[in-house]
Amino acid sequence: MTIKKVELITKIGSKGQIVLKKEIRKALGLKPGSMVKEKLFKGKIIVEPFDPIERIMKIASKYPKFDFKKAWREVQEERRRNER
Amino acid sequence: MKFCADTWFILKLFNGDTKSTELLKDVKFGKDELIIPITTIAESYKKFFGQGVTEIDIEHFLDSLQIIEKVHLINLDKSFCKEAAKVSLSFEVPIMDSFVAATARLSKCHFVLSDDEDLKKLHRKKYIKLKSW
Repeated sequence: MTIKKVELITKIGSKGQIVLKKEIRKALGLKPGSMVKEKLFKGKIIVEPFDPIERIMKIASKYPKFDFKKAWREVQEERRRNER
Repeated sequence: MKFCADTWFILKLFNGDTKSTELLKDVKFGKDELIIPITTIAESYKKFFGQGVTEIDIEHFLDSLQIIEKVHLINLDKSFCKEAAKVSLSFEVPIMDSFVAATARLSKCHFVLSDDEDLKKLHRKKYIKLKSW
């Protein structure tokens, strides 16, 4: 996919909606159902593709020391302990 | 397929487990569905906080899960509570496990994603089907 600079003028609809032009959708691989993130930054609106799984993986990668085994063991112990 | 996520699955996902991520991708592309009982969220919060995950990262992690169209968070109403109580008493399993199993059953899930020993008991008794790796 070649991403080139695309600049198009569009109007805001009655409910505040904008339509991403076909050239932009095609350049970024956006299809119906794709998610995008809107940001307001220094007087500009930034709309970029959003992949929730990518974000999940990025957050998880910030915690390489997260101890799954310890966490899961504790969950099971607490479940049983609460029954006594 | 419709899956019910025990805390096991959420923790695995956070741990960067490949199979968990692949399953979530299938959910994202609409091939499967994922149900998350609210009790799973509570237990996950506790474990994340307990290991120093920041509140903002937890919120973003959980929001990213929930924003996927075929992921549904199930809040517990009286019908779920009643079913969970019956399961806990009948099968002698902890109430938290029973919430997960009851949610799976009432939401008509094919599998519960967990390797919890008490949920394995419910699998042997054919109340639910378990899937783990």
